[in-house]
Amino acid sequence: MLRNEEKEAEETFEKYKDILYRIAFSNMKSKADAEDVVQEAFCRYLKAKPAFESQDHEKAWFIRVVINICYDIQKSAWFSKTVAFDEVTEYEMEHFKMPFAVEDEMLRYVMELAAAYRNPLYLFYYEDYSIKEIARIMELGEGAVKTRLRRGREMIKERILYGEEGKKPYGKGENFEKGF
Amino acid sequence: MRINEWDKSAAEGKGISGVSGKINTRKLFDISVNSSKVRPDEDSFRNSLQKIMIQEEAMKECRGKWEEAGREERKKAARMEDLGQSKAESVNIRVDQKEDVKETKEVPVRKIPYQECDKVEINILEGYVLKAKKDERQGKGEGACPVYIERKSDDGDVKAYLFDGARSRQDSGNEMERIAYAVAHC
Repeated sequence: MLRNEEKEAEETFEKYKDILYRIAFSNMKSKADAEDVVQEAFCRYLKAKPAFESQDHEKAWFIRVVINICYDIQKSAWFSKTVAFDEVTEYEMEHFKMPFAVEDEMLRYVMELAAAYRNPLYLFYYEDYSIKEIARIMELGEGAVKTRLRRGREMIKERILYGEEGKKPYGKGENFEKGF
Repeated sequence: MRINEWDKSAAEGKGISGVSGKINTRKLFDISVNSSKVRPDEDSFRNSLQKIMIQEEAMKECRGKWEEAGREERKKAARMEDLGQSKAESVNIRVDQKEDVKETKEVPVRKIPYQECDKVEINILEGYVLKAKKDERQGKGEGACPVYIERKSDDGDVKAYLFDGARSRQDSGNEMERIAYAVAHC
């Protein structure tokens, strides 16, 4: 790899590593797994060397790749057999810092949602993405994003109201639907 | 007929002719209400009149009491107002007559990112995010502290407002006013 390319790759990595780590962590709920996902995303970037129209396009591409990698890992037989817990442990949460918003109990509830709801909610509330941008990243319609935001919010309310009993309609089985 | 015979016949209720007759000894006041001699419409009128009179008397009494109580309340309120006004004046507080009127106006959305905000409030359960920032561009008047607030809802609605942080209240029922206060006083 030429020096210029190396420098460019480094710059890109520095630019996006934090947000990609946060998105990966919100999906994987573990520091080690999140780091692996970010690394894999940059490997794919270096391999594919895609051309982007703008910085926003580049950022959206990275986020989509990270979400897809998380999806692939969670879908794998190994992950489904070895990782049984949906809940985020205190220990792991220590490795997750939000730069702009105050971390509260709500973030945990969001992270415990099914991926179909977790990603739109996380991007909308904690990464300040608009519905239009989320729709582009997740390759969904704007209406679908709005629906997921609303349903995800309702699921969190149910969880808060009914505790563990409210876990049943918490989006189980919707992890791997189209538009993850 | 001799006089004594007349008296006797009168005592026995007999007429001059000696035929026995009826003596009308009953008076009007002895006639019972149920009697067919008192008409029912006359009786109901009497009853309703009595009721109205009783009600009017009761009303007069109540009105008197209310007026008295009202007079006392007004006196108390006036006394309290005078006291509050004088205290506020003594510590040099401007007493605002129109508390409800706040300097708030809707402004065009600037789409400020989180990193530029002075305060971000995420309310997932209500489905919105508030982003607040002190607005240096709008320096209006002395003591004014304009705060730009952007409200992003999960239905796709984004609106922006400009609050005067100096006039905002911490205990306001409006979430945006509270955040404006927090930003202005941080």
